[in-house]
Amino acid sequence: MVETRFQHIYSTVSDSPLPLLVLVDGFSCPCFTFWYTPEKSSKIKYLRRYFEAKFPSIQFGFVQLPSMNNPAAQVLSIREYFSTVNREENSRSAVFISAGTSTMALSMWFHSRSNSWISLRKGLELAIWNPTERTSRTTIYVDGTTLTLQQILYSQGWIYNGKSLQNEDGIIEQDITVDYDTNQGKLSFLKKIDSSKSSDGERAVSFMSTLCDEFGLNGATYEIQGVLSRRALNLMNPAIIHTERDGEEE
Amino acid sequence: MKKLITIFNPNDPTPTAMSIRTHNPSEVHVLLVHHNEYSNTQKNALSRFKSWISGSIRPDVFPKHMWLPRMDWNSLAEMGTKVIYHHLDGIPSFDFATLGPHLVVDFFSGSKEMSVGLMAHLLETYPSNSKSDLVVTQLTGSFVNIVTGSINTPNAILSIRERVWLSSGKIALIGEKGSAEIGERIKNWELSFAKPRKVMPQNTEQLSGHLGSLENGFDFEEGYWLEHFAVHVMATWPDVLETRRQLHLMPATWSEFVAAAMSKNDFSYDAIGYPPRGYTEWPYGYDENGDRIKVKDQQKWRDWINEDQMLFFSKNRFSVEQLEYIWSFAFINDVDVVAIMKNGFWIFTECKHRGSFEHETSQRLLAIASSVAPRSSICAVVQSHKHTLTHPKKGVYIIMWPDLKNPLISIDSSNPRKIALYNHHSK
Repeated sequence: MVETRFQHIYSTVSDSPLPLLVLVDGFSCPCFTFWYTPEKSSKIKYLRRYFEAKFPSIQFGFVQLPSMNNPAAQVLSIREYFSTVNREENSRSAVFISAGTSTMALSMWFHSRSNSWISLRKGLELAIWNPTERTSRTTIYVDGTTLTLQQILYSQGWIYNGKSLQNEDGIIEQDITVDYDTNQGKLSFLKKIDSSKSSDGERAVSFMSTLCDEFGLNGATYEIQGVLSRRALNLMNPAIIHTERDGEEE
Repeated sequence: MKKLITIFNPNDPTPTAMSIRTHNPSEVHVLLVHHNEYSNTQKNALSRFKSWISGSIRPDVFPKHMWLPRMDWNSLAEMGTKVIYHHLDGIPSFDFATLGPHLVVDFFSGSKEMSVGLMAHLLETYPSNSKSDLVVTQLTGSFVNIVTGSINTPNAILSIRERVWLSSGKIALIGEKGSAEIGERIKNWELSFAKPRKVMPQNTEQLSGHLGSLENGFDFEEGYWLEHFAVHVMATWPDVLETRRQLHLMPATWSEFVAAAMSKNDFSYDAIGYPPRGYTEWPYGYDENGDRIKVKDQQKWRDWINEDQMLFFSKNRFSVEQLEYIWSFAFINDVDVVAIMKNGFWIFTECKHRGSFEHETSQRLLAIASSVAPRSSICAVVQSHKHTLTHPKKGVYIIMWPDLKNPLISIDSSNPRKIALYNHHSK
C-alpha cells in the first residue's frame, strides 16, 4: 500500500471488481466514496462487506446515482453532492476514472475540484496524474499477492471450492477452474466440456455469459475448452475464448 | 463561430463523427494523439474518417461514372465546417490559448484518461475565465454538459449508411426509411386466421394503402408487404433511432462489385446492353456457328469473363436508371430491415411470410451482423406462422409479425451486453 497525501478517493462501481479492489489495496487513504447506479446496486452489499472486513480502519461510503439512462440527472446529483463538501478537503482528494462512463468520471473529477486523478493502466499498474505538480504522472505497482482469489470472488458474493463456483443467490457451476494471476492481476475462468451433448455446451456458454456480467471484462478472461454445437457458438459472448483442445483457439 | 474540440478515436471513428454531427460546428479541431504510433488498423480508421469528412466513400479504383451520386453525403466543407487536425505527442502539447475561451469541448470519443487530461489542460489555460462548454455526446446523439447537467438535442445524427462505413468500412445501400407515424396507424392491425398455419392481416387493401409505394398494392400472398410493415412498426419502438428497409452491403473493390452484379441469376444483361457473346473478342476462337470454342481450363474462361465485364463497365456510360439497376444487384449481403437503437445497438431483421424459412436465413443474418456490428447487434426473423419465441433460436429471435406492436427487444441501455442473446441465466 502506497502512502499518499490523499484524504479522500472517489470512484464509480463498475462490473469488474478488480479495478476497485486494486485501487483500495494500492493506496493508503482514510476515506473512499463509491458511486453506483441502480443497475449495480446488487453488488453493493458484497463490496461493503468485503471492504469493511478487510480494512476496518478505513471509512467507506456508498452513494447511489440516478440510472445510466439519465446521464443529465447523474451530473446534477454529482454536482449537488460536491457542493456540500468543503473546498479544502477536495484539494486533497483524487478521482479514480477507470470505472464508470465518461459522463460520470469526468463530471466527478470536475465537480470534486480535485487536482489529481487515478487510472488503472493494466493489471496492477495505477497511474496518478496531477498536472499542477512537477512530475505530472507517477506510477505505482500494486503487489498482486495482497489479494487472493477467494477475496476477489467474495467481494462479488461468490465462493469457489476448487471445483465448483457458487454465488449467494444459488447459481452454481460444477467442474470449473478459476485462477487469479498475482503478477498480471487477472482472474481466469476455464470450463472444459468432455461430453458431446449439445445441451452441455449451451449450458457452459450460458454460465460463462453470466460470469462475464458478474466479473466484467476488465481484469478477467473467460475460456471454454471442448466441442461446441453451432447453436452454442452462435450464442457465445465474443468475450469468451473458445478452444477445441488445449491451446487451439477457434 | 462555434469551435469544437474532439479527440480522434483511432479504434472506431464513429464517436468522433457523431460528435461533429451532433454539434455541427463552424470549425472542428480533431486531436490526433500519438498519431505516429498508430497501427495499420488505426491508420485505416483515420482514412475512413477522412473519406466520411469528404462526403464520398468512393474507392479510388472505382470508376467515377459507375458511382451512384446518392451514395454520397454532404461533405463537412459543404456543411460549413472547417476541419483542422492537430498531431500531438500528448494532450499537454495542445495549445488552447490560440483558440480563445469560447469552445465546445466534447469528450465523447477520447479515452477517459486523455479526456480528463484535456479538461485539466483547458482549466489550466483558462483558470478563471473559461467560457467553454464541457460536454459528452451520448449514444442517442444528445449531449450532456458535465458542468451544468443540461441536456441538449443534437443538430443531426449519423445515418445508418454513415455508421456502417465508419465502423466497418463497408459500403451500404439502403431503402425506404421507416415512419413511426405510419407504424402507429398499422401496428394494431386486425388479424385474419382464415388460412391454416399462417396469420394474415385483415382488410389488406386498406393496409396496402397505408404501406404505400406499390402502384397496384401489395400481394399479400408474398412476403414483400411484411418488410414494409416491419420497417414502420419498428420505428415506433421508443429505443429506436432509425429504421430502414433493404440494407445492401456492397463489395469494397471494383472487380468484386462487377462480379457481384453480373453473377446474380435474375440480372438482365439486356437491361444494360451487355452483349451475349461478351464485349471483347474471345481469344481462343469461334466455331462455324460463331460460338466460342470451349477451353478445357475453366480458369481461362473465368479470367476472360472477369476482364471482359470490367472492361464493359469501364468503357461504357449508363443512364441513371441503368446505374440504379446495376447497383441493386451488386450486393454481397443484404437484410430486409435494419434498425439502429439509442444505445448504439443494431437490429437486423429478415421477413418471411411463408410456412417455413431456411437455415440459410439465420446464417445470413448472423453473417451480416458479424460484419457490421459484431459486438452490438441482435438478429431477428419476423414471420407469420410461428409463435414468438422468448429465447433466441440459433442466435436469432423469432417474432410473429403482430407481436411487433410491442417493443419486444427491450434494451437496458445501461449494460448492452446483458441483452447479448441470453435473457436467461443458467441455474
